[in-house]
This record gives sequence, C-alpha cells and structure tokens, in this order.
Amino acid sequence: MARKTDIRHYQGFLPMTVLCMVLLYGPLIIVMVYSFNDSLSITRWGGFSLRWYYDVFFGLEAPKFQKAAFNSFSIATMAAITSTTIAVAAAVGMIRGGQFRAKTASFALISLPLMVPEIVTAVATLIFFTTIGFTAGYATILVAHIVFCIPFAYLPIAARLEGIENIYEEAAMDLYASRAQAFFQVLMPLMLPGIISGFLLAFVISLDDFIITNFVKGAGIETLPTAIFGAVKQGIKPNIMAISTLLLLLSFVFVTLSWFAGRMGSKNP
Amino acid sequence: MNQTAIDIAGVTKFYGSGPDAVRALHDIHFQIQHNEFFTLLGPSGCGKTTLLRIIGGFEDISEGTLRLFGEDIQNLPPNRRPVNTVFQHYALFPHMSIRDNVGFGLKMQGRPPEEIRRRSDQMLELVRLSEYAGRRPSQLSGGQKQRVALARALAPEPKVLLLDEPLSALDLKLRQSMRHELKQIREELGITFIFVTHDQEEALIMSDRIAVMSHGALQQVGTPEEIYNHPLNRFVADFIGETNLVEVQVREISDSGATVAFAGHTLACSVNENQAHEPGEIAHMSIRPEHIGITPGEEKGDALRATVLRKIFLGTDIHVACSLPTGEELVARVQSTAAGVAALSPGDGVTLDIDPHRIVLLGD
Ligand SMILES: Nc1ncnc2c1ncn2[C@@H]1O[C@H](COP(=O)(O)OP(=O)(O)OP(=O)(O)O)[C@@H](O)[C@H]1O
Ligand SMILES: [Mg+2]
Repeated sequence: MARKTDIRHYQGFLPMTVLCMVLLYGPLIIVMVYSFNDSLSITRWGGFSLRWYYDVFFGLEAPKFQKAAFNSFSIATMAAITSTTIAVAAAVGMIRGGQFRAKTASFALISLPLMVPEIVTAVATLIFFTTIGFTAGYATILVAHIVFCIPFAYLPIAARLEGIENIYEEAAMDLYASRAQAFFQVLMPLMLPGIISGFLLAFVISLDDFIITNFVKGAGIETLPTAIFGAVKQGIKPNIMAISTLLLLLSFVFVTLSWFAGRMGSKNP
Repeated sequence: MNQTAIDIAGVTKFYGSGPDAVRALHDIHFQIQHNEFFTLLGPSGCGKTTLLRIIGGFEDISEGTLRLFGEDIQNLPPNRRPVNTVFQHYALFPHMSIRDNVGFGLKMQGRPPEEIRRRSDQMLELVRLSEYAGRRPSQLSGGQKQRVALARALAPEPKVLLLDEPLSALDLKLRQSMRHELKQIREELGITFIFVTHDQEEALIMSDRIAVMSHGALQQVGTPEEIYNHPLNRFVADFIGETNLVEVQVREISDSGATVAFAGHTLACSVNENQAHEPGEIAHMSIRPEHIGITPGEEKGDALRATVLRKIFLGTDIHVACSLPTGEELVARVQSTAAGVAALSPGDGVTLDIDPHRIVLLGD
C-alpha cells in the first residue's frame, strides 16, 4: 500500500537528503568540533583542548561577554514572561471569545511578525522608537523583544487551548467558581504545557535574535549575538566558536524542553 | 410539601440570529415540584440539552421566563445558581485527584478545609468510591467516573441536580445498576432531579414525571403511567413503548369516551381530556400490543378475525403479527405460555380481542 507512494522510494531522495543535511548541519558540526581545537587557527586541527572555553569565561574578552550574556538572559527572561502573559490573554480571547468581528484580522495581526521579513520589522521598530524619542538601550531592546516574541509564544498556547473543550470551565462555573477562579484553577493548569512550551520558545527566540536587536540597541549595550558579531568583525577567533557552541547547546535544550512540554499530558487532556 | 422548584413559562430559544437562526426550543411550559424525579425525554436533537443548559445558566433564553423556587433566575450566572450539573461526558478535572474534584464546589463556596475534606469523603462513600480518593480521573473506569461526577455535583448540596444522559456511555448491566443507585441516592438526599435521556425505558423506570419533547416542542407532561396509558398524540404513543397506530373513523362522542369504526368493526375507546373530536372525522388510535388478546381459531359473530403473519419469540412473551381482512396489520404481545399460542404458525386464523379500556383516541 504505502510502499509505492512512500517518499523514500522517489528517485533522488537519498542525495537530496544528504545534501540538505550537510548544508544545514555541516557548518554547525565544524563550529562545534573546532571549538575544541588547541590552536589559534580556525582551519587547522591542532589537537583537543578546552582552552577556548576557559578563554570565554576567564580570558581577556571575558568581561565583555559576561556583560552581554547578562543582558541577553535578563532580556530573554523578561521578554518571555511578558510575551507569554500577553499570548495567554490573546489565546483565551481568540479561542474562547466566540465569533467576533475582525477575528481573522486579529489572528493575522498576532502572527504578522512571523511573516514580515525581520529586517523590515527592525527598521520599522527603529523608526518608531526614534520618532517617539525613546532613548535607545536596554529598554528598547526589551520592548522590541516582547513584541516579536508574542507570536512564538501564542502558537503553542493557542494550539493547546483549542484542544481543551470548554466543558471544564462550564463545570467549574457550575460548581460556584467565578470566571477568574475557573480560569486560574481549571483552565490555566490544563493549558500549562502549552504555556511552558510557548515561554521556552519565546525565551530562545529572544536569546538569539540579532537583526532587530542590532538595529534598536544603540551604542554601548550588547547582547550575546551582537557581541559575537562585533568580535567576529575583528577576525574569527576560536573563542567565538566556543561561545557559539554553548549557545547552540542552550537553544537545543530549550527547544527540546519546549517540545516535550507541548506534548505533556496531551494523551489525557 | 408541594413546592414548585422550577417554573418554565413560554421558553423559546434561538441559536444564532438573523435569517440562519436555529429554533431549538419553542414555547415550553412546565413546572417541576420540589423533590421530584423529573425526566426530559425525546429523540436526538429535540432540545433536551438546550433546556438543561438554560436551567443551569449556560444558555440564555430568547423568550419566556425561568423561575427557581419562585425567584426569577434568568440573569444569574451559573456560579450563582443553586443548581449543579452532571455533564454528559462527566467533565471531571483531569489535573485534580478524585477527592479534589468532589471538593471543588465546596472550595469555591469558601467552606473551611476540614468541612470540605469531611464532606468529600462522605460523598465518595455515598457513591462507594472511598478507596479511589487519591486517584486521577484518567485512572477510573467509565462507571466510576460517572459516580465521581455525581458525587462532585451533589457535594455542595444543590437544590436541583441536572443530569444530562449520565448513563448513556455505560454498558447495559452497569446502566441498570446505576439507575437503581440514582433513584436511591435521590430518595436519600431529598432533592429535585432533572434527568435527560432519549431512552424511553429508562424514563419509565426512573421518573416521577416525564416531559416528552420533539423538535423543540413539548408533547406531553405526566407520570409514566399517564404517558404510557394515555398518550396525547401520535408522537408520544409511538415514542413510548411499542404500539399499533391505526386509522379509525369517529362514530360517536360521549362523556365517557367514543366509539369508532375500525376494520369494519365498532370499538369503544377512551378519549383524553381537552381533546376535541367530531363524529365522522378520521383520527388515530393507539393499541398497545399487550392489550390485544389472541384466541386460536376463527370465531363466529362479529369478533375481529385475523390471519397470523409471523411470530417472534421474546422470552416470556411472544409477538404475533396478524393481518386483518381489511389489510391492517396489528401486533399482539401474549405470554408464551398462553393456551394454543405456541402452536400458531403463519397463515393460521385467529380471533383478536381488544381491551376497550386500554385503547386511546389520539390528537395530532
Ligand atoms: N450551539 C448551537 N448552535 C446552533 N445550534 C445548536 C447549538 N446547540 C444545539 N443546537 C441545535 O439545537 C437543537 C437541539 O439541540 P440539543 O443539543 O438541545 O439536542 P438534544 O435533545 O440534547 O439531543 P441529543 O439527544 O442528541 O443530545 C439541535 O437541532 C441542534 O442542532
Ligand atoms: Mg443532548
């Protein structure tokens, strides 16, 4: 049955797969491998060592990267919390709000940042901030991140909520719960896997955003991605590879957690 | 104590608005007494759930009034109505233990923790699930979930309990024992039950009174005996139990009943109150199979003669389908042990004997 139409039997399936895999993951693997290179060269292998990881934490540039890391993590945490909260409210409004006018338009508006090229958003955000005279710096980065993280937080939360029948809220209200109690005691715990998933996704997205951050950050403040970019402009040193590998690992962990959280309890909602 | 618990007057419900509005209920009137086991019975889509949701506060009324113990509750949200619901699919909170599920209503009412604990345990005992208190709903069987849903709805001591087809997901054996349990629990607690079902047998067994509905309209309200023995119209007669619906011509109308012409014979029958018939009009009559007697052999005189078409064995009873000389078909239900019945075979001539006290002339 499935044998003839199975995509694996299409001609050229194997070469295409290999090509995609190599293009996507080859560079990442090279970066990871060379981050353990005991040599200043980024192209010649000089034996295994952890010196570049040591350099990241205790070397000359360490204070700069630590400052950037602090900015990145604090912004990511606050942006993820805020955007997740907004996304929960949006999801409840969209999915439990019944039919209202401009529902489709609202959904398009929420997911717009996913479709608009990031550079356009970046320029627009910068123009907006300049127009209203909002001084560039930490706060502008935070506000921009909150805004573009919303759709990423929204999607897993909305998907989860759509799978929860409203009989649970009705049962709660029937048992004397107010609207707020029904939300916090019943709906929210049931949505929790989606909320965690959305939060983690928003966190990672904020953590590794470069384009928008670079536009709105102004002088004198760096996040990890902009700091790395700045360092690379003066020539690629292997310590960049070590930082990149650490970031990659972190993203990987978060995306994996997000995936598991999204699936959590989905068998018995 | 004959207090009116629920008073529904002229309730009409439209879903949606404008040209594609759906009329789910049409001008429903009835009263439910305190302490009554009241059943809403009707085929799928007739508006039973809609009516229950209106009483629970989940839908609003398009027209009409709804009173609970004399008080107009139309504008009260569900959490302010002393009415609890056992939902069709139970809707147990999956993230809470069975005990927390049962205690949820009490917690929302702000009762002290010791009381919540004591009363939840008491309720779990009532439905005989004490040893499951620490489990999650997903670890229970269908029948157990159903009982938890019942305990949860009963715990806050509602004045009225609404049950939406609570037994429909259970197998026959479990359903039968749950019917019994439900009745018993209601008698123990002394509260009003409004029970929804599309199973007429269940309705007859359990209810004090039944409201039969069809297409959003009320067809008849009455005790199981009234509904069964004196159906008001064709729909009720046909929906409740088995019956032979036959066309007759009305001959005479008197205070005590009527005489009608059926298959070339004149039969006496009863007429429901408030039901107008004119001599000469064509009407329908309901004859229950168990009210037709069969004697093998064709008697002389003006007895109703018929020919056996088929026989269906049902255990203690036998269904015998007969055709009359005028073409009508009647089904009789007789005990398998009745004289001569076992020996009947298709084509045999028989004499039918219809009990005149048991046949009813129907309205439309
Ligand atoms: N939310 C809704 N929007 C529009 N129409 C609805 C809605 N809910 C119910 N209806 C319609 O109202 C009518 C009555 O529905 P209701 O659910 O009350 O039937 P029911 O008697 O409970 O049936 P069942 O035995 O199948 O549960 C049906 O025709 C149904 O299609
Ligand atoms: Mg229903």
